[in-house]
Amino acid sequence: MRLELGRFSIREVVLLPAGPPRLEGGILQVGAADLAAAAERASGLRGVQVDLVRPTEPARIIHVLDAVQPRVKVSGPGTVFPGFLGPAVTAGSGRTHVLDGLAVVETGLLGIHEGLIQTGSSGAEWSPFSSLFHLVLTAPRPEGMTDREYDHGLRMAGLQAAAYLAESTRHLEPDCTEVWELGPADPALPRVGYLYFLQSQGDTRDTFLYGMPVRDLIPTLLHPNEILDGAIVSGDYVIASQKNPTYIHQNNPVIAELRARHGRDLCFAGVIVANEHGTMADKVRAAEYAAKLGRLLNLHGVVISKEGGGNAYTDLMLACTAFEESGIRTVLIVNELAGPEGDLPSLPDATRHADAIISVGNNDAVVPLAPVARVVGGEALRGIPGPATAGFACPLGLLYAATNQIGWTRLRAVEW
Amino acid sequence: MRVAEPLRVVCYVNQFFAGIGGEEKADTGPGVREGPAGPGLLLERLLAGAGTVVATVYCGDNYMAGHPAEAVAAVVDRIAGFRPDVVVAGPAFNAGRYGPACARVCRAVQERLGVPALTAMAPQNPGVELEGRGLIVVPTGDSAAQMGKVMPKVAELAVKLGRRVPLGPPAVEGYLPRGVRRNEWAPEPGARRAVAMLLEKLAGRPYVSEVPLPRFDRVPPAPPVADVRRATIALVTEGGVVPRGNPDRLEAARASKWLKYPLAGLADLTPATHEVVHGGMDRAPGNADPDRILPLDAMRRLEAEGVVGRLYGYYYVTTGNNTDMAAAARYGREIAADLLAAEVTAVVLPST
Amino acid sequence: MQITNVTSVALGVGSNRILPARGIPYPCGDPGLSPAAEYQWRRRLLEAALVALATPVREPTVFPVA
Repeated sequence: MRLELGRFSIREVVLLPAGPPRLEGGILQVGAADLAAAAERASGLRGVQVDLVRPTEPARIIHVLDAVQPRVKVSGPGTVFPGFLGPAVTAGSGRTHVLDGLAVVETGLLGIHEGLIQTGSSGAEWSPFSSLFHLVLTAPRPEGMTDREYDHGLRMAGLQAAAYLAESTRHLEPDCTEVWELGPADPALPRVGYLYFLQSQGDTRDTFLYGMPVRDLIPTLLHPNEILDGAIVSGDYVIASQKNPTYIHQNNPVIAELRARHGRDLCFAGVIVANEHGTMADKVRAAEYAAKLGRLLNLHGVVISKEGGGNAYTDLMLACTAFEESGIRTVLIVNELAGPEGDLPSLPDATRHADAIISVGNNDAVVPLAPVARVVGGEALRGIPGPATAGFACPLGLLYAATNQIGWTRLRAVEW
Repeated sequence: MRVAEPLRVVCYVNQFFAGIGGEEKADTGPGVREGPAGPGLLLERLLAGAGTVVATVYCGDNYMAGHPAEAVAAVVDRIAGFRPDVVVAGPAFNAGRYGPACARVCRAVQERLGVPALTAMAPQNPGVELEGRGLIVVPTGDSAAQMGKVMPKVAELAVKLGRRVPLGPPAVEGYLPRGVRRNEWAPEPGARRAVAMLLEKLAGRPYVSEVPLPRFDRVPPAPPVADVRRATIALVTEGGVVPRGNPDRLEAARASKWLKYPLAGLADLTPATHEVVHGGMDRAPGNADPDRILPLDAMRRLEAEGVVGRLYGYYYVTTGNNTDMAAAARYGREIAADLLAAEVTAVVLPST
Repeated sequence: MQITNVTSVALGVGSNRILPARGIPYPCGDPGLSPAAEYQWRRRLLEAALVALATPVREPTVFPVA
């Protein structure tokens, strides 16, 4: 499978009342009405509002649900986000264009937890999204629409908006092109795989593979290129700091690192996706089955990532045990639940096999957020009294993707 | 340039290092000598004018072990009289009564007097495991023969603490890690570090895991119930099942309390009588039938059939979602005390 | 004794008598069954709990439900 990713660097976004998206010299012009119309056509929602938030302005995006990177397929089979924007044809070949530096952000009151992105002020440093331009979509829930329908509508709005923006690049030359093709590697190199846990445990806690919720997924194999084309889409709105939004799936840094080292230090043998299930019996099945796939791939080692917290550590530890007992060495990437003072046990579950763990930080640490000039996505923060623009002491758990367990940031916790 | 005032240092030592005597004097009660004694003499030399050991407070190891609260209080009272900037306890090396005594004195000095304190002992000294949490402990070898090796570090940290200079991480400053996790920025993103660590592991090269595994706790098991048919069984749960309306406002997460509610006259829990407030899981199954969490219906049946002696007339509940661990341990102890006072034989604990 | 779906956590924290539940939100239930069958499951679970309470153990032990 060979995929060319043509990347376009956005250094400025201009939001106009109307007009199709236009990219020139790194400046993206976006017409709000046209973008809203594209989002509405795809979703059945009405009154979609489009706001631009710059990384340098002191602002706060609240009620954040999913974030999506604009990409569009310009040649090759299928579309990006197969199963949503087009048929579930295998993605990952041909040529796809990418707008770097911009995220489409869907906001809304779904799920029970608040999630926010702070930009241009103290506190921005914690969320990896704060360095991007954001086109924020907010849409009222139509009368009588269920949570599930509204969720689906917002998702379609976001995905379609992302593809629509990337359309501006269809006939342009990329700033740079990456070729993603895992050619043959020296057989003496260690065979390394990636076990990619997805979280799908019910409405507003779902992840999708080719458009299908992975609630009942038996672990399966993917080529990394499929993920670059949006085969994995997030609908998981639990604790903001530890979720993996669509944007992070598209830019999975474990996949990027394994690909970078393929043929040099290792042979990147493939990606195993598995669901984090809600019952012990299903967790055991997934762990055992994933380890079997690892054996069939003749892996020497595997990197294992997760999403969410709490009982998902059990899925991770069961998988660690199953792989290690198969003779496949593991490294885990986890965030920690060590309490606001950092003095509680980092992990609620463990196994003696988990001797190689990467920390992405203590979720429970409290950080100061400076007051901001502008709030986008809602009127008031959930569960936090006072004006939504105010400064406050914020648990890291509220900050979007701050402790994502795919290892996208440089945050970690250390022993004191 | 203004020269800093020498710090006022008070030392705590046992009867031996105070020069009173050996094991035969271990019952000595708390006392004071002016100026330095024992390790304090070396400490004062190493402080080189940055500080003065104004007093040495001591207590016999057996007296400390036998009167823990009273002895520590008496020691701290004497320390307080000297208005120290910093307190140095020990070094205790591997001495099993002296180590915990030093740790308790340090903690009390910090908590009661707000004065920084440090101690030194071998990492395997029970004082570290039992009493050392959160304290600055300089690691030593087993034997007091190494006094000369450890005191320079003790002096250095005593000056920093006395001057209220914030300490760096344990690996840099030379004290034992205190089991506290703090966030920092690594040089590389987590994904890159993960692949690098895996390659080290596969090559058989050394690597250091970034997250310590939790200690697997052990609790001595209670002896089995002799005769279940004569036993009083109580139901305790962290599933957040409360009377409808949640009259005492049990929290959905980070519960600040446990509650005790009557079961008299009830044979079944229903949505009319009870609800589930636990915010860390899907509440729908429990709300549709709270017996799914607190199994009252089946327990009543077993009681009526004589399979159990009786079901205790109250149940206990809290919410086990993001609960502060120290609070959770306290709730457990308090509920256990209540159960023992009520002569309950055994507990069934359905948990989510 | 403790009834929980996440038996590995119970073993890790030193809970000595453990029975496996079928789900996290319903330690004494199984919403996939009919009400009558679910009640029977709950009863069997509690009978197994009483057996566990009457059994000597030396370390954290997961008991089966018959």
